[in-house]
Amino acid sequence: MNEEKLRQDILSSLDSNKVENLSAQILNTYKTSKPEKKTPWYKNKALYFIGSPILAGGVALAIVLPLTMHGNNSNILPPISGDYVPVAIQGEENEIAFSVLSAFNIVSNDNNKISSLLKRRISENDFKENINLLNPYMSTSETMLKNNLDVKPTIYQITDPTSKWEYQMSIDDHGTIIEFYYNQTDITDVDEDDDEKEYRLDGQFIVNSTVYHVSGGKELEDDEYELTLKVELNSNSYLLIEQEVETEQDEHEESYLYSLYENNRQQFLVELSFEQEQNEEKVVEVKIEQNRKKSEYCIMFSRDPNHDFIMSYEMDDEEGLIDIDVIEQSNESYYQYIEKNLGYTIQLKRN
Amino acid sequence: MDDKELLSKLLIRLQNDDMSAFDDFYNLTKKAVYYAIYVVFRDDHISQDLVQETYIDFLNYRHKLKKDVDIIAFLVTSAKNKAINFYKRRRHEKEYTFKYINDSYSNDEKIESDLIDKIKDILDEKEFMVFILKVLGDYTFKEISLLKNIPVGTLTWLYSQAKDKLQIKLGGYQ
Repeated sequence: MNEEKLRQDILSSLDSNKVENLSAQILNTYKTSKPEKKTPWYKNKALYFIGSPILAGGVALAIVLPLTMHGNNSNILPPISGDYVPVAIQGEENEIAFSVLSAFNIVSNDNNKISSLLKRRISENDFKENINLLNPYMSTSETMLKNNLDVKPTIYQITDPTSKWEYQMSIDDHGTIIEFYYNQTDITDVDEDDDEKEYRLDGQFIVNSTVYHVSGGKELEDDEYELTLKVELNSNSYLLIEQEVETEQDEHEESYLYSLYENNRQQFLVELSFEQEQNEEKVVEVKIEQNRKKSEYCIMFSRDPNHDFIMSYEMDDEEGLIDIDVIEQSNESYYQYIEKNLGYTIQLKRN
Repeated sequence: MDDKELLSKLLIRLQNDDMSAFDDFYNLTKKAVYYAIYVVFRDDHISQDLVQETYIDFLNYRHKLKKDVDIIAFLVTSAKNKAINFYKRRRHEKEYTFKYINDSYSNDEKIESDLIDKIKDILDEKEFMVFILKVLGDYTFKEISLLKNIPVGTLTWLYSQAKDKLQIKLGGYQ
């Protein structure tokens, strides 16, 4: 539908006399209230001299911090012997597993997503480029919509006294095993009055023999849960995972934020989130930022029996709707994105 | 000379501080600006205040505008931002209640014309509200969600329904 033409026709059809002529009043107000010119902050010498040491301190910190934080990626896990004691899953481990799994989906060498993200070039058109960027998160969004977040990890407490790690979490991602070895240290402030619990997490996760160092922490409160993990990809780049879960009486919110840094500069950011209220349709929101370009999507089940999902989008200041179909073709599964208005269709592999 | 050409000539005159061009400029653009605000609040006083603010901002900023700027789009965006900021500022004030939020759009005499009547006949009340905010106000789903406290998913669905119905029954907008 040509919305712009319809908009023009609707505007033309409206009676001009219903909108008062305020031009004289506006001109009067304008003439009596011309704004004073302000001195730009950088021309304000006093401010400049106060600001300089702060700025200098910030730059020093930016240089020193990565050096002090720089870890050793060449560690190979020591052989682990002894019994593994199964650990009862408390609930939040499922969330950690989901974060690790989705991080793996981003850093995985198999699909080479990281390099494709970093080396990405402008392709045939912005629309297809944006959908290509979105597609890796579509299956996670689908999982979220289907309430199927229960990634079932197995967790063991490692009893081997020579082991560097206290726990092992195994996650099976369609046959690929992700191992997460980690220590969990209770760092809750004893003076805290409330029920908040705070833990530091250090560890490594291993995927296809590649070792990634992980550090971070988690905070637990009655109805809130926060997890932050920094996954070192190599000496220059890391992935930051931030997860928040909040449950109130009739409301449940979850968000997963992944930001990829290279030489301490954010190269890529993706946020997946959803909010579920009683009697409300579930909508998963995906925000993607890359090279200062932002795109946002809201995905929900389609009520049209001919399509599986419907997605609204905002990309490059354009807005529209996309129907999404799941297509099974000889043991392979695809998402078909259909933008009816623009006449674009793109089919991409479903992870 | 079409409206677009006329508007760019008027803009040049205003940029050259010929303020006598303002009345014509205002009359050519007022409907787009007014309705971008009115569709949210459906209150003439609030709308007139924000229309004035929008044009005063434009007058203050006019020298910085490029000659080829889409002036209607510029003014409508500015008006929308005024409406959203006004809403954000006032929504927490207890003494200020927004009576419009759940009011029906169907009996609003400011939003009336033969074409609009046809659209009202085709759409149900909620679809009409989303449609008017989206098409006449040019608001994004996220902005409508904020202004009307309706989840984006519901808006997406309502708008999609509205478009499908209009496509079939209104015709002429392929």
